[in-house]
Amino acid sequence: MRMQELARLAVGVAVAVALTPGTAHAQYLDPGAGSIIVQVVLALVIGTAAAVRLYWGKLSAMLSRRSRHPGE
Amino acid sequence: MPQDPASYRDPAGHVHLLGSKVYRSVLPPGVDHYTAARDSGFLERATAIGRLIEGREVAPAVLRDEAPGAAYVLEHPRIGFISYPYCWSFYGLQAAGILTLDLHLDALEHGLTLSDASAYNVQFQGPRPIFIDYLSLIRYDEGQVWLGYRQFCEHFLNPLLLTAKTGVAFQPWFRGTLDGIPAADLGAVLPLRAWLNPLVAIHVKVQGSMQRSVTADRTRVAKTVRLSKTSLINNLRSMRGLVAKLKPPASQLSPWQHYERTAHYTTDERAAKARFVGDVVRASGAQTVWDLGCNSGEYSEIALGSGATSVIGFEPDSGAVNAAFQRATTKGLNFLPLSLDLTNPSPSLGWRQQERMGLAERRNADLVLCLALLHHLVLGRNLPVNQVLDWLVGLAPKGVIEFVPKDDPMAAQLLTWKPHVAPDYDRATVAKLLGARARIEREEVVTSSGRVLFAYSRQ
Repeated sequence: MRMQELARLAVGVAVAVALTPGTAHAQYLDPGAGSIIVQVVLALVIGTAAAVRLYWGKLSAMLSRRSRHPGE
Repeated sequence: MPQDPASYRDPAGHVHLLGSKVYRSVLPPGVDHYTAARDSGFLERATAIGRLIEGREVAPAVLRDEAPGAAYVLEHPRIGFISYPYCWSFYGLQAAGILTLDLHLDALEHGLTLSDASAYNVQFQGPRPIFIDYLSLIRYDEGQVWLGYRQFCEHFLNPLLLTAKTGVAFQPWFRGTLDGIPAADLGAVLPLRAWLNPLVAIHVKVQGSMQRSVTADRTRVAKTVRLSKTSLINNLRSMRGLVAKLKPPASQLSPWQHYERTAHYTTDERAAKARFVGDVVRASGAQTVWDLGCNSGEYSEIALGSGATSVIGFEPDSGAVNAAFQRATTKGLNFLPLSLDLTNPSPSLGWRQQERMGLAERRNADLVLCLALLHHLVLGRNLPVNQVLDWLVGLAPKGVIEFVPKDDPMAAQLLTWKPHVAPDYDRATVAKLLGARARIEREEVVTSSGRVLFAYSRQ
């Protein structure tokens, strides 16, 4: 996955949840309250995983630099 | 049948069947959404790439009696054979699920979203799924969650997970509920190792427990939840990845062990049978063929190569029907293999038992192939020969029946524990009974074991 894509995923998480009133839609289906909340959980997990992958490279590079120069 | 009995849920409009025409009314609650979809260019694009069935605006007056309040009326091409998700193969349901998600992702780019995710919104043209419900497309407002998410899980993801993770066929369960498999029910039968995939854990375990304990607080929170468009797209892409990666279990992938259609023929005998079937289909001029007990679709393919324009196959073995679906996909055949035990065909189901049509109501074959099946029905399932022939001759005006004698190795195996079943099952009696119901146009012994092919035409 490209870095740009990962960054997009991570940004998605940042704006995933905002507790503002929802709008009414032409609906006929009961979406299930639990299933609505699960979509936010899913977005958080996907976004967090993307963020971890995004920064993992940088983090591991930083750690390996430190281990090569202990005491810095 | 002015209004399709399955089209009653959505107040945005209904499907009407008038003669051979299929119309869709767009009623006031659906007008803004329909015009938004149309004016965004999405409908045109989706039909051009074959994801959405064509829909042409016609004068609303055509439904002046059936839908007097319709602001718009669309005319759709008629689908030759309506199939339901509880008869689709694993690959069929998977393809329909992927289509639904792809359509949704594409719709979001045009400022639209799907209001639901019913598997009944998808039909098949050969092995190719196509979305048929225009009124599922509604305007997307920033922050909106996908209100069809639960339905997508119940109609697509959960049945596929059931089969992929446990090896249990989803079709009988789906036929029972008609509305797919709820997360909590699936959660009760998934093996522990399935939970190692965090996405499965969220869609099934978390969703199942959230659905079980709905509180007023939770409903209040759900009503205020917003999801960014980016997150919604990420969720849909993740679901697409999960669905696309699922595979049928090993038990549904291994080559069929009882591949008798080819296993008990020499090369010459097999060629003779193929020639017979091809000649009869060609001479009949049949457009639509039903291949009963189609196995992996070898003779369906021969029928298509002999002038038939579409074949619907019926096969109870999950591995064989999956193989048939792959044959149709890879070779681009207009062949739809369905998972069905013909001794227990799909009945009329749903509201007033009119919502989902039984198999008999959906007859559309010009010719039926009944190859290496009669002995299974008569010797294996104890069905009286005369009843089976009545049924076959009633299915289509023409047909091909293969008679497998009792001393053929495959038939003998069926009689191991019940040697006295069907005393009237022999070539002469079958020919006589068939001759009483139809004109036998051709009769040929195709194997040294005495298998006989009959071609007949209803009188």
